[in-house]
Amino acid sequence: MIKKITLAMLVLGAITLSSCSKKGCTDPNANNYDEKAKKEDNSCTYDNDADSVLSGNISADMTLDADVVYTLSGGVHVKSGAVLTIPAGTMIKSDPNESVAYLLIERGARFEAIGTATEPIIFTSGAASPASGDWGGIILCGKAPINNGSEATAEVGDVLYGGSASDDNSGTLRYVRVEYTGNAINDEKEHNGFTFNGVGSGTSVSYLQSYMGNDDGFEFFGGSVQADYLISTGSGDDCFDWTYGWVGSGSYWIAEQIDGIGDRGIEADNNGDDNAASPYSNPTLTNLTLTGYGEADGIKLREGTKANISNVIIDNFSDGLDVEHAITVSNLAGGELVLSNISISNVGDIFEIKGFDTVADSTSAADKINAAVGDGASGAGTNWRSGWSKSL
Amino acid sequence: MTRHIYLLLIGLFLTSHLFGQSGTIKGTVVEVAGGSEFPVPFANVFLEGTTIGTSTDFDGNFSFEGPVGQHALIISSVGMQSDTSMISVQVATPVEVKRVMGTNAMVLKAVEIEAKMNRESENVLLMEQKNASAIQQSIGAAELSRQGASDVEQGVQKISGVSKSKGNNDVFVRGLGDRYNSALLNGLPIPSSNPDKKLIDLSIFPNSIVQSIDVYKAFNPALPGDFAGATIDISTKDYYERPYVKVGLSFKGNSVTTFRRFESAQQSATPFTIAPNYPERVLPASLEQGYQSAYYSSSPDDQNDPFSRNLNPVVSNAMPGTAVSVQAGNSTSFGSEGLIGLLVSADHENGYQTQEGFARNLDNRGVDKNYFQTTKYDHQTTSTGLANLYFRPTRDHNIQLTGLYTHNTSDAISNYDALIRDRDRNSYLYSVRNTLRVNSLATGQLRGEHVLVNKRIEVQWGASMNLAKNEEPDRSQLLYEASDATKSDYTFAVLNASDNHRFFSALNETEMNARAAITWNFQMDENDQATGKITVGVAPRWKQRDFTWRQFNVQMKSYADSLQNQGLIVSSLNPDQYLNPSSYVSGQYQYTEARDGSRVHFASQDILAGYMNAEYLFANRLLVVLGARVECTTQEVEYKLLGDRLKDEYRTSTFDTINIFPSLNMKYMVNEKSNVRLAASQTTSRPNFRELAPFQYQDQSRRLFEGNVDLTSGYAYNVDLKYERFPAVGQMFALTVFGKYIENPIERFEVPTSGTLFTYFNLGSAVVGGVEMESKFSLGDLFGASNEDESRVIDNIDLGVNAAFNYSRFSIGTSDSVQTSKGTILATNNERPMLGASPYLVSSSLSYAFDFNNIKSNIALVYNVFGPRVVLAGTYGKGDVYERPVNTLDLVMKNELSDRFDLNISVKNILNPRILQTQKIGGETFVFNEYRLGVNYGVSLSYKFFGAE
Repeated sequence: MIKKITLAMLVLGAITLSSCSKKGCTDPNANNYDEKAKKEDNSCTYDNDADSVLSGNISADMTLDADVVYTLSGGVHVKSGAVLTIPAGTMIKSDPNESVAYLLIERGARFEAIGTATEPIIFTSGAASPASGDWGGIILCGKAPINNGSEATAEVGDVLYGGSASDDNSGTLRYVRVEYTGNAINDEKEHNGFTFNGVGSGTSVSYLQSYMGNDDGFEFFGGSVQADYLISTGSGDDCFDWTYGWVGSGSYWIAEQIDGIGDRGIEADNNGDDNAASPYSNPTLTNLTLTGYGEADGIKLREGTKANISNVIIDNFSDGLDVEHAITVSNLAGGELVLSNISISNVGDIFEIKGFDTVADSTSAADKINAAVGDGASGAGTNWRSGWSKSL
Repeated sequence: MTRHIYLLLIGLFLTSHLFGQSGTIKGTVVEVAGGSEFPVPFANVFLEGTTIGTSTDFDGNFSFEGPVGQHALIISSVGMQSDTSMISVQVATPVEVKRVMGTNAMVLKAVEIEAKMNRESENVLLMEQKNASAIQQSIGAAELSRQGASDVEQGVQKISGVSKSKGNNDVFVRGLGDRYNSALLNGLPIPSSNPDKKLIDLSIFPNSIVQSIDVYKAFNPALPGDFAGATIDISTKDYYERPYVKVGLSFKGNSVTTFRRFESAQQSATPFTIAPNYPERVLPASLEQGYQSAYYSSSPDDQNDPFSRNLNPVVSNAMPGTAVSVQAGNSTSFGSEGLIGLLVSADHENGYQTQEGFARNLDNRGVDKNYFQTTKYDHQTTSTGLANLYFRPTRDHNIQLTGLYTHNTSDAISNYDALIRDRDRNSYLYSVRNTLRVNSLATGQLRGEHVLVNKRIEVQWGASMNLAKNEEPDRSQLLYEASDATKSDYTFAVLNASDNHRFFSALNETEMNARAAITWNFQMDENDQATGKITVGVAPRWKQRDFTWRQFNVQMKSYADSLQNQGLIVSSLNPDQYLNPSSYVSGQYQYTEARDGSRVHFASQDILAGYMNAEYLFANRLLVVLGARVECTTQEVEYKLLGDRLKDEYRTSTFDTINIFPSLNMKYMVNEKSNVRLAASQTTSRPNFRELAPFQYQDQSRRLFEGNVDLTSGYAYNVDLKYERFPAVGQMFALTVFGKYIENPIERFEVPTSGTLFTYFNLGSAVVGGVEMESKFSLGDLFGASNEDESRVIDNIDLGVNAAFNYSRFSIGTSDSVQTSKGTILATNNERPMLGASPYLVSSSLSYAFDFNNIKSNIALVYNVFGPRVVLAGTYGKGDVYERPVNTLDLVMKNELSDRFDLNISVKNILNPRILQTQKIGGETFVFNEYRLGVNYGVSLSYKFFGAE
């Protein structure tokens, strides 16, 4: 009782003492917005969300309706055990009244987003004039192995990813386009278009486009997922990026940059703190076309990554292909980083072996790069991107 | 019963003096009972009709300066008759005066002038330490001053086992860092004004307002249960007995700063700005009123850049630091025993510090991930005001009202010239951060002490209200990139939205706390001293914090385009050349602010504590104190995560506990001069708000720090065994052996994610143990007893040595990879010393007091060193990062030029060592971080005005 009374006195005292900056609800979208309030006091009230709004946690199976235009509001998490199903032709727009919107599939949850070439599933900005960075992106978290610990914290969402189930299944993504993704998480980090965190090989991923995202188009943090027919268009940072032991595969990837924006075609890492961390990043990639705007590198292989990359066209970058750091270079020399049929055009240096540390076997490594002619992602004909993807 | 006071004047030493002759009056006051002599402590000894005098120490000894001539020497003590004797201060002739007095009614009148015990004196504190029932160490204003400590932070480092990290300014006690220590002000908890720290910045308390600092390294139930390292109780001065005004002025220089190139923010405070409010840094009115929308984007149509503050630093030469201080006070008596005393004190200090060095992060092969050449220019101001009103209606009652206000600012320009291996595009970056931190704390305290029922009952109570604020208004960060090592083509980095930004944060904390304790003294002995005591107390505490931050990113994509097209290069790294009203209006840059839910959080911690303590003296030798404290705690954090919407409710994380903290303190008085003490207790270690707060703070080396709302309390089991000996006045030797086991400790760990993120977990266990030694002697004591007939130089040389040897082991678990809610912690060592624990700590001082040409001088040489300690736990096979031993040597000279003028000169950090952090990787040792602080020179002059009595 005494405690209660004193607490009341404290509150009273605190109100009196801090009344110089008025407290109240500071959100103009709230029902009780107080325009004189300068200091948030946790008193805002709001109307309930409409049915077409996706927000908070999705803990039970949910199937969307292709006839409804949905609003993605805040961080939406599909929780373990739940399945979110999105039919072909569904459009989902970010909430323009919130600064954050992303869709995150937690470990043990599934995302069944199956569009068609004529009726893709589209995630886009809800802003009146859409721009890069209007919302976050799509994040899948799985239980497949990673090399920065057996489990790690995702860049966003305060959730874990990684595990020991390399055949883990996070669902199916087919014919899905995300537009204007990539809002900032903090100083270091921005959302990618699609993020695959420890996603297992049981997951089926194909025909995805990231259009005008602010950061990377596609990023793989470990895992073993196979991802085919990917298009990274106008990405603000790297078009494709992997690190922490991705051992999946991909074929038919297109990177297309717009003038003055974006960094590497591919940025490939193993682990920045431990370049020899196991499992090594070691994807198998074929049929890639990477088109830049005369800046940055076509492909940057560093921090110990391994890979088998063949049939690539690299066009219009400052450097064609960079191999960096001692372990990456020795992977190349030792035949664990295999580069074959790589066509490089309109670049400054075709390929460079470099690093901030001493590279002993750079000469022999350089010989391993097979710069023969490849036909890139057009090998299967260019028609695989027509209908569902957006061009520049 | 008849009491006798004998006065033994052992010697009167004569020296010549600036304003006439004066001499030292030394003596001992003893009481004779049953044919034996007993020293009379606390007796007041003064010259009639003057303010000149002192009080006796525990052994009845006194010593003070008096002018040559005939004087009436008055000696008085509580419960005894006062005595007046005529003395002649003129020659060094030993005098023995012996007088027997009868009882009369005059006793009380004499006593009333006298009830003030001087807790500033080293000897009084030593005696208190000897008599205390609990283990404590104290340092008084006199010793602080003699050793050249100018504030409490420097003062506590004179206590054994206490040190300060150069790296993060944390105070470590027995190897336990900030989170294990707490502070009290006059016995009442005082919050930190820095949101990142639990312990208040002790450097904000200048020496001039401190009466004494008591450091409790063993728990007793009167202390808060959140205890593991130490609780530091700062007692402020209460009042001046006689009219008194002292003004001081000082100047400081630094060998790497003063008169050298110094960068400061354009609207920096001038040296004499007392409390800068920086109007240019206040959030613009157009933005301050709530949030305009979830996503704010300024537009050229606004016509004006909403932020008016120019960002280009001003380059000048650093001026010397200055400090001014005023202390004043008086007291007046009323009735037969009443007294009202007053003290006011104001201090203002400002200083400049340049710090050049480098920092880096390496991978596990010893290759730089990034490397930063760092230069930091910091202009700091500290203003402190203290007022104390002391009211004593009768000798048995006193009430004090204390007001304290401190305001300190740090306005720093920090330049990081960086090479970033993982950097996209250009690896050569240059970042400039201007951070203004404004911390303030306002404290009001009311407290009282009452002795009732013929000394049988003692009541102590107090309450305090504390308002702490911390603001970072308009922190600006600008990032430039260059294409090669010549760095001739800097342009703004524009790749990430927040590369260039302006950041605002404000934290408010309100803490109210109170305490009340009643002690019943029973079984009074023939000297009216209690054999037993029982104390019952309550101590409620309420604490609330709110924190808000906003960040406006400078969107320069349009600018970058024009830069690319026109080939504009940022010359001289002058941002104002490009970020100015005309380029704003032409749309080359704009500001964006994303508002997610995580920008505000609230935290509260309420503790209701009750305690009971029973003390009994067995056979006049063994004192046993047994007690327990019960704390009922409610802790709550209301917050939102990054993905939460504005319209989502706040998440609430609550943690309630009820704990009982038992404690046992035993003291065995081996003889009159030595004690053996034993203390054992169980205490807790609660998460503090910074560790809980789900807010990500990013430092300039791109590391992120985040709280963890799931933290719970750790528990500490403490045992101390101490032997202490007080051979003579001013002498002391103590040896302590201690051990602690900390269950579920909270430590900071790097967690796996992209980027570098640190957060906190309750993990593993820790064992801490050690031996501490303290000693205080004059060289004369060491080299044979002094011959009372002659004064030797070595008698005037005092040596104090404190040394501590610590063992600490933190064990994360049986494996070096531990699963947590934030992923696998890849600790290189699953066992290591605790963060901040040094295997050894030594602090020592050598001081020499002498008179030269009527000037009383004291020279002290103070030396400190700490052993290597872990500051960052290694991951991925990289070794732990150690802060290397730092040897600090200070020379302080204090001179009393006259009764009124004091002149002090100091040279500190004479050795100016490299301050290094190192990391072992693959058998090779790398320097992780390095800088030097420079040698500090100081000169200060003070003048005292005495009013008429």
